[in-house]
Amino acid sequence: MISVFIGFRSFKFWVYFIQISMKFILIVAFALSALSLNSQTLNGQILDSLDQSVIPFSKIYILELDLHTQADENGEFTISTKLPINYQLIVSAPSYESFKLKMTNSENQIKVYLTQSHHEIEEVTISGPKGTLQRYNAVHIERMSLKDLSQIASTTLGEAIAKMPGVYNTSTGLGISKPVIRGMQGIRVVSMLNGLRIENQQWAGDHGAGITSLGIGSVEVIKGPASLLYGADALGGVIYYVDESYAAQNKTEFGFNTQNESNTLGTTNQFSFKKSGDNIRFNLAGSLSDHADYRLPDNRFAANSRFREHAVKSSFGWNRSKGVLNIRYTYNATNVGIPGHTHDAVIAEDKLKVNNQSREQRLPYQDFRNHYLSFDNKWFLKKGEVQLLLGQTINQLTEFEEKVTIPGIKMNLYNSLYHLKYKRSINEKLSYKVGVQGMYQMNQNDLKATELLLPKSSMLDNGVYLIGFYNHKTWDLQAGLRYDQRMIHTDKEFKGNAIYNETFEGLNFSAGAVRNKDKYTFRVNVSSGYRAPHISELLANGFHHGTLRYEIGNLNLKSENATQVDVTFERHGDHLELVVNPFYNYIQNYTFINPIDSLIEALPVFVYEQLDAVQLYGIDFGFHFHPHFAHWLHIETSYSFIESQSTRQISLMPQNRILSGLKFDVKDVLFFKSNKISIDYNYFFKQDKVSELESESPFYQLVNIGINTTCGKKENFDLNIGCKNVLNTTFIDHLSRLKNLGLESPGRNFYLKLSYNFSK
Amino acid sequence: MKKQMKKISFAATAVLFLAVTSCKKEECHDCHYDFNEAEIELGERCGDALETLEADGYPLDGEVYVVHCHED
Repeated sequence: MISVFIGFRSFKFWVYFIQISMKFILIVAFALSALSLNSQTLNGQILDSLDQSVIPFSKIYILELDLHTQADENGEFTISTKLPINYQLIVSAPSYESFKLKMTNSENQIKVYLTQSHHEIEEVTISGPKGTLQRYNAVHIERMSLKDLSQIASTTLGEAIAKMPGVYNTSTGLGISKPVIRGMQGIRVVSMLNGLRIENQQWAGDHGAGITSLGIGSVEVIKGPASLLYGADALGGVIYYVDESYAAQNKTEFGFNTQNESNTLGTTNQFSFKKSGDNIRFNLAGSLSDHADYRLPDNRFAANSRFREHAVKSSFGWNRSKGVLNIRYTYNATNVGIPGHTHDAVIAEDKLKVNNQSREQRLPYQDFRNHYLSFDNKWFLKKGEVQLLLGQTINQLTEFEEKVTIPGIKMNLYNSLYHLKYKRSINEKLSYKVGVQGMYQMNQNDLKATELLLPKSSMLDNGVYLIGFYNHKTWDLQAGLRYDQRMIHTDKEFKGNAIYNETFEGLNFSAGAVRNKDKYTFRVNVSSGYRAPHISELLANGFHHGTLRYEIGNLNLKSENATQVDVTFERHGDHLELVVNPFYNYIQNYTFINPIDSLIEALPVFVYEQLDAVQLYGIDFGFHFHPHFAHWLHIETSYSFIESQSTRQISLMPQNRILSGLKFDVKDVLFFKSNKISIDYNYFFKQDKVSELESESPFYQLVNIGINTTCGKKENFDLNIGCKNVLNTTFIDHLSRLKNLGLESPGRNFYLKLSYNFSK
Repeated sequence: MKKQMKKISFAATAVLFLAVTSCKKEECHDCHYDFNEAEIELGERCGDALETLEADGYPLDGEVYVVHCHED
């Protein structure tokens, strides 16, 4: 297999090889999937380590099967399913430390003793090299549940994840947003959905994230180069979206929620249905979202900032003793106005800010449609596991600029992916993982469009990696190496450029160590990443109305290479948790788009260029104080600082910021229970480190308030009310793409969210 | 299990079908062309007629005028 990779460089050969291999793998996968044995039963009880009292309603999770259940009021649980030969059992409960246990399927009775702790429940992270509890990862992974990110409700998923330390949001109004990790965005940030890579023309600043919050359970962020696991492009980091779990075993769950916002007169309605048997599981969810133009602090409206989204998601899971299969499908469609769009040399304010709010579709606007389909199968072996992920994504991007029926740009992006990995434990201390991963991508223009910004092109990625894991007492070590190859190919000449055919290669590594002792975690990681130039950077030549510019590519671009050192120091005290995370990232051949002194049809011309080297460094610092004398109070703060250094200033560096929150647990009042009040105070420092033709941004501060409560006989109803930008602050974030137009961000926004959840 | 799988497969297929297909009602817009710095109204156009008018323009007295069918 390896000699084939090295020996053959013909593009067509690889296309046929991938097609034939996928057919073969599918046949083998289905053949193996047919094997099945009888269910096994695991009975257990969860107890307090101090006084052996029962811990009711604790959560029990089998990592390999993504299967969870809940203990009853006596702390007892039963799992009846096809268990792998070896698996990890993770038990968690509020006010107790999460516990991880290695099990075999020959054990059918267990008692688990948990230690009391004031810490929040520690969850398993999936995006890292080793699916395990956060503290055992040698790679620093930030993980938050969408529920925690939504204590003060967000309008979009992009707004929600920008609350995570080191993560920002670049936006064009509310409807278009994309993540920024440590100053890097676009194709430098890889987004994954349950292991499936999201490809949605993310090279452009005005193309959104390609995903909605529907069915998302948690978000994990790896900051910095992560090419070892995620291949080319993961230079800035990885945003890994994890779907909500299936219903607990032998349960049916139904949920509905509606969120209403005053600022956009917007509504988002979602439903979900989940059913789990012993071995078969099924989830189905849908959402509709509609928002009018957003209201500015001066009570005018940002013209054409309206958007609407709809999405549907389904997943099917099947556990067998030899393995587990998951098939997932997600579809989302977004129709979003492009605010601030004009060809006028002098922009009249009344074109940008209007007195009437509207939601009717009007020019110019973008229409995105995404299909994500994945087939993910694990086979459990005696000492290891094999996992195969096959995926197909389709992205359709249409921009309507001047005509209502004839698009300005229309492109279809097809992406076929595979990832085959083998994980094996050599002994209690040593294990390794080896894998091959790749994708075949095709970008096609619809000739109905009036503009061709990019040529029709194909891209083929293949990579192979090896990672080793070693545990020695309180230390967990990890090191890995990866080789990648990317071939980019165009079929014909494009606007004066000859047929393009190039191959880029990358050799990357990651090495890290984490030590957990008493209340402290110390982690150090060195990792590298690479990014081959994108077809848009090489061969763009046309109007890109969504960004209000004419873009020209550069055939002389080289691959970017980055190396990052990331250190984390954590203290997990009973009442004080502390995280200090400095980092340093060195990037060679940094690509950027630069305005030149030229106009084409009143739009400025931008060309792609490279800098020899850029240094990015900074720190993420945070603490969570939960005083003993006031157990109802939580004080949380995170500080994100980033600087860049190069021969010229890098543009779009985010403002340093402090995100602070006070959370109060309030006693039950009448039929309102589990009451929480959240007050956020966010301070964004001025940004005066700007590139040529980029303007500085002043500091600004925002206050948000939210109240969460649960009511109903079985506590089925959740009510979440609050207000964002309580002080109606007028501000423009430095990363807002409307900054140069002077179009402010939304003013005060009241919201009301009602959720109903039913389980039987 | 077979019946259960059948039901689930049917439901999943139905959802997939509904998600992929979509009903689009005919789109209509008021159209105009510019002449001597004034907008000359052409009235409402829908569907294929709208598309043709936008693509081909409006011919008049040997000249073809670019048609605009969107609100400003």
